Amino acid sequence: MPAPPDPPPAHPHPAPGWPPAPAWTVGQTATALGAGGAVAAVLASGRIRDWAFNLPLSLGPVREGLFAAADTWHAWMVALGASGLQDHLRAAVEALRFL
Amino acid sequence: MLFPTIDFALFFLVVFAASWALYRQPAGRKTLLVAASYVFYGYWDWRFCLLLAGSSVVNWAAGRAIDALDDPRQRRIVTGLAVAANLGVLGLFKYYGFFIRSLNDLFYSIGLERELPFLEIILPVGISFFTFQGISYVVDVHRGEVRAQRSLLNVLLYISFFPQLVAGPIVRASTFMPQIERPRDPDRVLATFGIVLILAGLFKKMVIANYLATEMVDLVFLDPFFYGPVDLLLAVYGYAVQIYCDFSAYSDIAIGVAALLGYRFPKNFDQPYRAQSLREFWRRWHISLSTFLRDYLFIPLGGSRPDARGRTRTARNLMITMVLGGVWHGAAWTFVFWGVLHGAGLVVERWLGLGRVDGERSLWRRVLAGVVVFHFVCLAWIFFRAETFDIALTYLAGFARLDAPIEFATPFVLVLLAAGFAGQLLPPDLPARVAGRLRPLPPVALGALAGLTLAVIDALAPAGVAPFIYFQF
Repeated sequence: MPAPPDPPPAHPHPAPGWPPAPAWTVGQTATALGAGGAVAAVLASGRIRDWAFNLPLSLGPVREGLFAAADTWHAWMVALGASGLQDHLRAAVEALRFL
Repeated sequence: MLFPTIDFALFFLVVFAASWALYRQPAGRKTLLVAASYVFYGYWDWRFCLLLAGSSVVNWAAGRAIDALDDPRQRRIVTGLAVAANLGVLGLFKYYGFFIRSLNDLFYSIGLERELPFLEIILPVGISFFTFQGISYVVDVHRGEVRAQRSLLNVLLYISFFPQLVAGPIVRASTFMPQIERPRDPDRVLATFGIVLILAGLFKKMVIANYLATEMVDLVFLDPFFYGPVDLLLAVYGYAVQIYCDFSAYSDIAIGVAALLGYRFPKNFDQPYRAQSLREFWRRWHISLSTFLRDYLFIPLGGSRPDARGRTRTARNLMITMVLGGVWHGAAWTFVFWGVLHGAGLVVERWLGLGRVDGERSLWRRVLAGVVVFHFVCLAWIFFRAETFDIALTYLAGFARLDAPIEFATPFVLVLLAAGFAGQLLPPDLPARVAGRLRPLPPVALGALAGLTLAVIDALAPAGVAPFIYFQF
């Protein structure tokens, strides 16, 4: 028989050494991770395309299909202007680097 | 599989969903997490999985044997054998080549031409971490701090759990095993805390550590002969910030990922460059290793004793502990010397009565102590980072090369250093505070904010994925 779950403490500590932190349910956490993934996929579409391009060649048609999908996705995001934020930030960093 | 990659993000999303889908079946969930951990580890080289599994089985069997024995002497023997087996594996894979090279050099220097056989052995990623976890399990069972596990699955998960498998933190059996034994509660996931830690870790690693490495530190340490005192000073400050941001980032991400899966890991870094003594530094730097060495090596050696004879023994114990701590990081004389420096520093600090920091110190004394400790730590980092002793000595000699031009005092490098040091001055409970502030947000809004932050970090980071420094240990 499995051991009973931890009793809920009055002030749940994340772990030894950490101060108290609030807890969520798994459903809330999954929603947040899903939303985060979606926003990152929109704004960082270029990185996803690079990732698909660098997949092992041994994956064959799967790699080609993934790359085609990632490339199309990135093209849409460029057309929408969603990748503009990343481009502006990269340009700002480059400007600071060579100041 | 590296944390700041899309491969890991996809892997984690699948593991997160599948593991929580199985929360009503603890054995199934643990099996899934073990399988995921072996996939994560096998991503580097699947052959290492055999070593990992072998290590887990040996430690599990040792725990069972210790538990079954009543005779304290026999229990000690089995514990000793298990610890020796763990250290033997570590020694073979990590130190065999080093000792053979050192012995051959010694033979050569005394005129013996005989060469001992050299084997090219690949160093399995994270071996120093998972062997220490194995030692923690058998010693904690021996001490009665954790129950010997009937379930091999529990020990497999304890030793292989992927967030901390390859670069820590070294989570003690007495901390982690009770969490493995009990089902995780799906209504108490430290989501905001975990997400904040992961994003903070990604920023520290991908932006600060990677840029400092590529823009300055790697160049200067490659050949310090070409640089003058200002650049050398900036580069060692840069390395101090880089290694902190790199390693603490890995720990933060590991703790955050574990939190999202329902497990709670202890803090591994606590703003170490604020320390006013070396003793305090070691209470703030790589806490899981320093407490491991304290509890499993320093104290069993005799620890510290206040009497006159005890002072010598304390010094000996400190030196042994710190030298072995240095060797743990890598098989090279530079790491040995790094340990010697820290050991000697701790001994001198104790003799001068500077180790204990009380609240009575005036502000200027606190600042002065912090500056002195930081620069001592930086001096030791030169030996830690340099490829060879000669390079470290060249580095130190360069501080007298006053006519060399200044290359790296650029606004970009100074901003990176300032950002790195700023992290030492922020409130230590900031992640939990931020998590508390974000808690009332709807999950979709928090997720969108996290996704935006991730995209910004990605845009600010240099191209490519640099491995974490502590992977090589």
